[in-house]
Amino acid sequence: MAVVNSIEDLSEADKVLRDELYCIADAKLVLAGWYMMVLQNGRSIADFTSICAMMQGQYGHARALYQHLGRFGVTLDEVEWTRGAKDIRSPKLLDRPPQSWSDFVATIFMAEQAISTQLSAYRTSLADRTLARLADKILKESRFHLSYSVGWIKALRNDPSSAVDEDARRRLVEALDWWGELDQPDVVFASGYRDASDSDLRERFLKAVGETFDVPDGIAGHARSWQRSIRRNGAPGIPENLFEKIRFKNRELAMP
Amino acid sequence: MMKKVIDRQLELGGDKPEFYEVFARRDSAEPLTHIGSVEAPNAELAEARAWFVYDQHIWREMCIVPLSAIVTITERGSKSKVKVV
Repeated sequence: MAVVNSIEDLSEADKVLRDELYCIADAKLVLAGWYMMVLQNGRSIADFTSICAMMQGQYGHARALYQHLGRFGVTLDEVEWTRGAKDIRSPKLLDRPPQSWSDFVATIFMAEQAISTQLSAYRTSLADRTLARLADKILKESRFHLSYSVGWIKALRNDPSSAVDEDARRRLVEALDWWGELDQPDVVFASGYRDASDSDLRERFLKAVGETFDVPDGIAGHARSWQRSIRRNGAPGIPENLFEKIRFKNRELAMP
Repeated sequence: MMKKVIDRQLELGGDKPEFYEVFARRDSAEPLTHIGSVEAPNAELAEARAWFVYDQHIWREMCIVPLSAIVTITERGSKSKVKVV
């Protein structure tokens, strides 16, 4: 894939791919923020270390994907320092803060599973080999994030009064907002950047979730005004108070 | 100041500690070596904790063994954990 210097030079497929990569990278940015905010609730030293490592991993993945956006004429500076709350394209699933430890565990399970499912379709991309290698590396590292959440779900279920299954049911509906309106043309798949359609990826996601939770038949998100460029319903952007927590700060301390 | 009380069952997933011993090697020429242990209520959480805690090298191979599966010989009956090599 050629590197372009200006957004006007992008093909339609490249524009849609750029938007999707923004969505995936922003999902990782906000998820890293979740780990950062929950860090002090780690249940043991090993748990604290794990959350810390997952936070670091998500920031690293987000920044690597932001760097890759350079191929579409977007600079790292623009992506990381010039955007506001209305420009962040993370999934709606991560807008509502964790309500409890079990809700946190259920949400990170859904978010990690959704992001990994979407990225898995880029591993074989011949149209963008750099992206394919990046997706492969991210997926290998994210495997342990999923083990962490699945392990916690099993542990929480040891307590009969645990609300983890109810939390997961609520969060699953929110997670499906990422694949909200599947009737829209899937240009990224049609152009060969992804090896699976959004519709197939939604099914793959539900199947993966079904290995851990009961997935009700015919479950659907709300597809009232879904936009592919932000992969969510409603107005673009995330809540201002969430943005204030997760935005990069202290530019002078940031690594180049 | 209120002291934090941890409900072992609710927060740690079990009312008594479960340990997993962690073994790893950096390349195929090295022997698989005991590098430490983690506490976890199940294998999935143990896998994640072992991977994140013992990240001092890029491991070629890592595996975990439940302490309860280890048959001790010299330490029989002493309840001691496998020693770090």
